[in-house]
Amino acid sequence: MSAHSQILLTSSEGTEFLIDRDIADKSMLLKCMLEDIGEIGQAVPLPNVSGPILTKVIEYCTHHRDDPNFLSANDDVTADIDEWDLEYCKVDQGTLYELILAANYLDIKPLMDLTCKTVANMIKAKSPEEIRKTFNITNDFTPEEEDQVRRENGKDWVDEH
Amino acid sequence: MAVYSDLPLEVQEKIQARLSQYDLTNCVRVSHAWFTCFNPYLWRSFNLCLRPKKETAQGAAHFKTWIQASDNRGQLALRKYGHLIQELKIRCCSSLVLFVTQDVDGSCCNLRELTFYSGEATMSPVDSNLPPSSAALVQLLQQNKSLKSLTLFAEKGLRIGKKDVFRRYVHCISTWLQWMEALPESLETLTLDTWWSDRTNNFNQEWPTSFPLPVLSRLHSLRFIGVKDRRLNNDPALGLLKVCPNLESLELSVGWNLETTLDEESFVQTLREFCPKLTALKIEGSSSDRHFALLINSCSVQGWKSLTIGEGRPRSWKNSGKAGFGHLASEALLKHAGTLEHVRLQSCDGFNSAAIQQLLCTASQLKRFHAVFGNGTDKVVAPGLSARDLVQSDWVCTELESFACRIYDIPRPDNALPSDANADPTLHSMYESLRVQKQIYERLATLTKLRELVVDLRNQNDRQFGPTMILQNGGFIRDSNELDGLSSSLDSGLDVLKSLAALRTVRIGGLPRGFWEEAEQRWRWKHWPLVRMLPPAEYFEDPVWPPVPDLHLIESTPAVMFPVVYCSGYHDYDTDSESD
Repeated sequence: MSAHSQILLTSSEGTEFLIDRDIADKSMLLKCMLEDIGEIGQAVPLPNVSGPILTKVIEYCTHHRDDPNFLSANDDVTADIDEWDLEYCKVDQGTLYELILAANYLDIKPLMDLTCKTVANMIKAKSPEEIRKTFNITNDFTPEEEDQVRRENGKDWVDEH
Repeated sequence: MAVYSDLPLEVQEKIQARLSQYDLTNCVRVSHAWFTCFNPYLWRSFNLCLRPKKETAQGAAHFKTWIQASDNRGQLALRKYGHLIQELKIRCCSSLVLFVTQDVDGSCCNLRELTFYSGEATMSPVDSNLPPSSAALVQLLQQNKSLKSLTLFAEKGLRIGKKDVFRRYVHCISTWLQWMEALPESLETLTLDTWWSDRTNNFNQEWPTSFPLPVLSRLHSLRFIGVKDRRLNNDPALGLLKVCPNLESLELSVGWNLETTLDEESFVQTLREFCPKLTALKIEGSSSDRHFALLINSCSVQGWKSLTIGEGRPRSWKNSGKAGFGHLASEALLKHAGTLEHVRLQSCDGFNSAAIQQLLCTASQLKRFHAVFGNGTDKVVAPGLSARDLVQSDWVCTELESFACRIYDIPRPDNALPSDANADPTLHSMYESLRVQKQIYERLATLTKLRELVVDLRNQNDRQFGPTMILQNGGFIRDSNELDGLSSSLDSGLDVLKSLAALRTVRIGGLPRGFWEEAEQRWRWKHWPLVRMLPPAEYFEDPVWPPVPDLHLIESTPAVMFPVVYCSGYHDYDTDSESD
């Protein structure tokens, strides 16, 4: 198989994407599929991934194309996120979730770890109100309900630092 | 637009695993949707067991205030969410008793892991109106029919005043029996650190010679037992072995008094007869060569796959002429070379270079071999492999993934200085030194599956070798424990290790030449970008034990439900946690 062979992907709305085989191989789903059935010259349909998200995913895989540590890139829970990746994740929340879903579906572990880490970092060390602001969530608790949750879950047990 | 709750559960867990308990308590207060997502995870682990940092008594106090609050908040919360708790860690009796008594409906019935350190003594309950903790524990065991892992630390070191120490042991037999009988059939691992029997005789309360086993249903799922009790004879824990037909690994703490207390025949008999699947053994403590050999020989027909032996000889024996792990034990171990996959020897200096070499040349299944000493700061030389033995014959251990063993006896030019009259200068020339080192590196490079390589077991401060150590007057400084280790320089042949693609952790080169030099640093970043250079002392941890391969316990949430918990007497349990 030539290293330069190309794969055609179709997003959920039918847009076609022609990508290099080595980019496609970053996705374990595509890699296994291509190894199993071979390159049949037909487009691979990805009904769960929209065009804009697929563009974004391809951007990630292309940037990390020659990364020798691709698979273990974001293993370390405590390590800082690399600058390019940090910039890459500066998207609106909906896109971020869809990226997670796409990474999960396409089985791209480092992208999965990166996006999950990004979401976790958006939550960390924030008060409920700050979390709501960050994630644009309306508080649908009544004051009584919120107080009950606080008591049940022992917010007051926990050291506020 | 997608929202958080659209994420599949396994994805949500990945995010939640990166959050602390503190973060989780905030998440559940965000909205109804977030409450639904985060609350199960928040409740999954209930940890009252963390080491106090500063404000000692507060964590336990917080918990007690919460659980005893007049508005019954603790009771109501347990009723609602007790079933979500999968992991419970409790450090003192009164907390356990409060937990169980407030959980009036027995909602906490889905535990998979339970750890209980009984710090406060049953003899000195905080509140005399509370039932004893043993009853609470029994109740908890009885209502959790799917418990997989139980760890009990009890009746140890309850030093309220030195004179009180032994008083606790009075109730032990009955307590023990109650626990035993309450063990659920689902149990897969059981660790008991109860320490009663040594003291029993202080009360003229002898264990019966044939211990009446409680009526136990056979513990078919039990795969690991750890018995941290320094006396094996007449031990009900030994009787426990008879009802665990699927036991795979056993951890024993043995005492110096094994000689007089172990009923050898019945022990070996029990293991052979009742535990046919036992293939992993860990022995901690100090005993005689003969007894180490006996324990190693007690294996079933299958042979050991895993042997971990710690502290072959107690400090007090160092000058007494008594041997710990010696040639009998070494022979016993080598008999299992064909089946062994994991070997870890700590402080077993009786397992000498020739024995190590023999093991590596016969154990074709070996995946992990560690021969380390003490805590890494000890001045005593670790057992190790002599370069002279190493180059003699070929290793067969090509499956080896982790190798931690000192390699010594490398010829050194400065050992052949005029002060050493008998030295053959050719055997100590730089040429000879480099030749031997190259051979060693080539041997190491044949271990293509290696993930972890530790050949330098000294303090970082001790790296002293080479021209810098030779004084102007021709003398040299010998102020390190080990001068004849493997140098991690390219001149020495390090380059061949670049073929080890799986390598992730390395500690070589205690010598000043090597990774501290520019050329080696460049080489390192080029060829070992993924390799972590190990700090001192880290290889003394033993993360792989217990080797029960597919046991799936829940992963602990990263941080703290109760940040500071303290109760009297528990400090004695801290030996294995971090020190600050």
